[in-house]
Amino acid sequence: MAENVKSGKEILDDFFNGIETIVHVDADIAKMLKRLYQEDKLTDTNVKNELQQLRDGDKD
Amino acid sequence: MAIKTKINSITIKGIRGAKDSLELPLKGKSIVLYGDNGTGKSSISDALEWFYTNRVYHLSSNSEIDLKDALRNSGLGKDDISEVNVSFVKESDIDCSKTLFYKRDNLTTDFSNSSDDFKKYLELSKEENLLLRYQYLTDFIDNTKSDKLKYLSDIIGFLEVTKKKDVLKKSYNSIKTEIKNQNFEAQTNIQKGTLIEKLGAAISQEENLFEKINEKIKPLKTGIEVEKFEDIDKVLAHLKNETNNKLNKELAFLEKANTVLDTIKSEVEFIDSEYTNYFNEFELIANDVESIMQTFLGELLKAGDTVLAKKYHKTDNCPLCLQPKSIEELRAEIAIRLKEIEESSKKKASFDKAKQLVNSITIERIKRLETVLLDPLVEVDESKLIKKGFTDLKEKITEYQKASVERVTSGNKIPKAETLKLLTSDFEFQNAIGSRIKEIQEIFKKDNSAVLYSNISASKDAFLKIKLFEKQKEKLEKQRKSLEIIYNEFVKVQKEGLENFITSFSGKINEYYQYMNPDEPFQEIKIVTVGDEDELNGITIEYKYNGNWVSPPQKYFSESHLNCFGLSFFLASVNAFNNKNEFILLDDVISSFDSNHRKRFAELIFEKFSKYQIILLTHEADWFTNFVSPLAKKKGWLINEIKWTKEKGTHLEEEPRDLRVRIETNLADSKIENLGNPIRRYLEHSLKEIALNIEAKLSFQYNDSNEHRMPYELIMGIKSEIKKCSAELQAKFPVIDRIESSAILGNISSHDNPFNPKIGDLKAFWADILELEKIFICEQSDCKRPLVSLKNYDSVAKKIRCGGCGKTKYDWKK
Repeated sequence: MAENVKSGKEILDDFFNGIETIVHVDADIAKMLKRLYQEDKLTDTNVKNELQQLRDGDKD
Repeated sequence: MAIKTKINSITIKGIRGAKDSLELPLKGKSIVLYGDNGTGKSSISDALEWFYTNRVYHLSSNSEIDLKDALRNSGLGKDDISEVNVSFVKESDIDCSKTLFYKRDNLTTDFSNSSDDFKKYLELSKEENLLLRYQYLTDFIDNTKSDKLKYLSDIIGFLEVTKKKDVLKKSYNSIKTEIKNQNFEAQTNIQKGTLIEKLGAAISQEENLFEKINEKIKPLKTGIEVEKFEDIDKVLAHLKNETNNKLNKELAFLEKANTVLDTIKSEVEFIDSEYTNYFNEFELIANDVESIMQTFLGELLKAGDTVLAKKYHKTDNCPLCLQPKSIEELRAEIAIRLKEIEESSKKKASFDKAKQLVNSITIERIKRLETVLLDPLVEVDESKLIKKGFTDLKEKITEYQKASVERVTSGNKIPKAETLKLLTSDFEFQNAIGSRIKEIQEIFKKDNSAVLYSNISASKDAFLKIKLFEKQKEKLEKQRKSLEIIYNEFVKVQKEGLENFITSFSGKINEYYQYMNPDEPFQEIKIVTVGDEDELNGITIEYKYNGNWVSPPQKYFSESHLNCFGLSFFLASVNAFNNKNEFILLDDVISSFDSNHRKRFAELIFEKFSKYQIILLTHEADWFTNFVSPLAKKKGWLINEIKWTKEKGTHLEEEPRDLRVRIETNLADSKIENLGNPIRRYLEHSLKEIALNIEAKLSFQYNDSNEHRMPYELIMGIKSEIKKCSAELQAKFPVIDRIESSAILGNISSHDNPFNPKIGDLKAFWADILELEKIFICEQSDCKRPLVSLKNYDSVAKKIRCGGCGKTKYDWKK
């Protein structure tokens, strides 16, 4: 198989490792998604709660 | 680099056709095994499949079959243990026996190796493509487009990618819903209305607010200049001292209640329209609950279609109800029903969205009503009407909320929108609030500072609320935008990843297919993704036929071509996904191929898969004898035959050398039971070799029949040839005659005839066979090619001789 072929896990690892470099993406959201992925806790409920916490914590 | 796994030996006992121990001592080598139909060669593939996956696909797919029971050889007793033992080259730590035995009347499975290394190895192996049978060849092609995608996605771990994509999509949608639910515009407009009422201007900047307040308090000469929010508090504290504190508190409470009511009143149409949408979706599905129930039938229909597609059911009737109907018609109907189910799933998704929105909208409004109902002032006598009005409103909105959690399949109806819609009368009690506010304001009119207090306080709150809404909306919009970018980027990466894989994988499939089918009109075979940019929903197969793209492949492919594709697909999968194991088992995979394709397949295996250990099972005698065996021999493969007898079940044909050792050991130990068949087989082998080497003329027979010559027929042929050509060899006739006239020969010539000769007779007969052999095999120890054969004919001396030293020779007239 050619070199550029990645397994599903490699695709996910690469994506979440580089998520903070995606242009115009809020750094806190990128960091939060990366953390949840790495902790194997990336579920829609967890993301929803984390987004709420980010909104609550953002006092500006 | 991790060791690639090859098999050292496989031993199966009491599994399927193999009653006694059947051992394949491979030592890491490839093997081609021939077995006639019914000899049970698939016992080996069944045993290996069960060892690795705990299932045997062709047995497990039939619910009437108890797998464990079917795996056991039918001749076993309850105390017998069925066993598959696999040992590996240079990896003895993962050698293991898997056993199947009765424990308290239940068939139980056990592994002899419980180490973590073995468990890990077994897990890895489950993901790999180790075994292919004829009946699996068209599995991939026969799958629906979405199943094809699922199949490949599962193998390469894309299922996890799809799950993560769904999480990102749901998160993005939840933010969108939250923005809609908050209805920031309506909330902001109400607060703007308050600002206009209290300060006489729609204010959006802090400076303007401070300026307006300064204007209002100027006549009071408070000495306070408002430049920041803290200054407003100072002003309010100053005014509070001079006014009726109780009335101010009541006014603040009433105005809060009024604002909540105004906001909800302004949202009556919004709530009604979202509920109407939900009601319509609910009705649509509730009136067609069957279609939702149908989604549960989807799996059954898919399974039914697979049964028909794979021709497990061949008669023209429905396999379930047995009503007459052509299989094509049945499959077309199933396709329509599956399409309908797909539509139903879409309807349900739209319904779920509407339901969720009504639920969150109502919860949010109830929360707002509760901010008033929880205020201590609502409990005072003067607030009785307000409390009742708010409680009634809360109840009405709760009815909306209850309807939003009703199960659509419950059979219950949900109320029509008009019965729930909030009416003007629901807000009538607000008039009393308005009147009381006016009363207080009238009182305050007599006290300018009280009016100012009330107006400034309300304006400050309204302004801050507007700013809060703006901030909340901004935060949500910012999150929505980020998630949208992340989701789109993810979809792009997922699609690229899958396409990279598919392009590379397609290349291999095409390479193997073209290798087996050179110069045929089917070119550039590939698998391609189907679906929108962000929603892949399937995979299909395409190829160029006479310059035009064709899909699906069944259109022009013959059965043989389809099977060839299946084989190419499997081999490409082996190439792509087998990271740990370097062996594969191919069970009768070329049955539908013509001789040319069989030849090309064998060449493909020997050329492109030479690094793999291959266990090749076949019942194609010609292909085995005339093509694969010679090629396999050159490449150092093992070659053997599988046989079946009633007493031994499935077993391997022993090499003559091994057979001779066994016969002589048993004769020496006087164990003569069941020696008849081995001696017959040995004699047949010897006679065939002699007949071949002296070119004895025997009657013409086709293929297999030629191989099944009886000893008597072979002896006649050999004697006749010798009589014609060699006076010297005629002198050796006594030994041949002794064999021919032996009573033992008559008895053992019947393949399964049990007989019990005396040990002495059997030994004498065996001695004659060896003596006969000595005539035609040179006994000189340095003779490298000891067989006496016409291939070594000395045309000058007119002698037939051995091919090595030439010392064993006889007169021979050609």
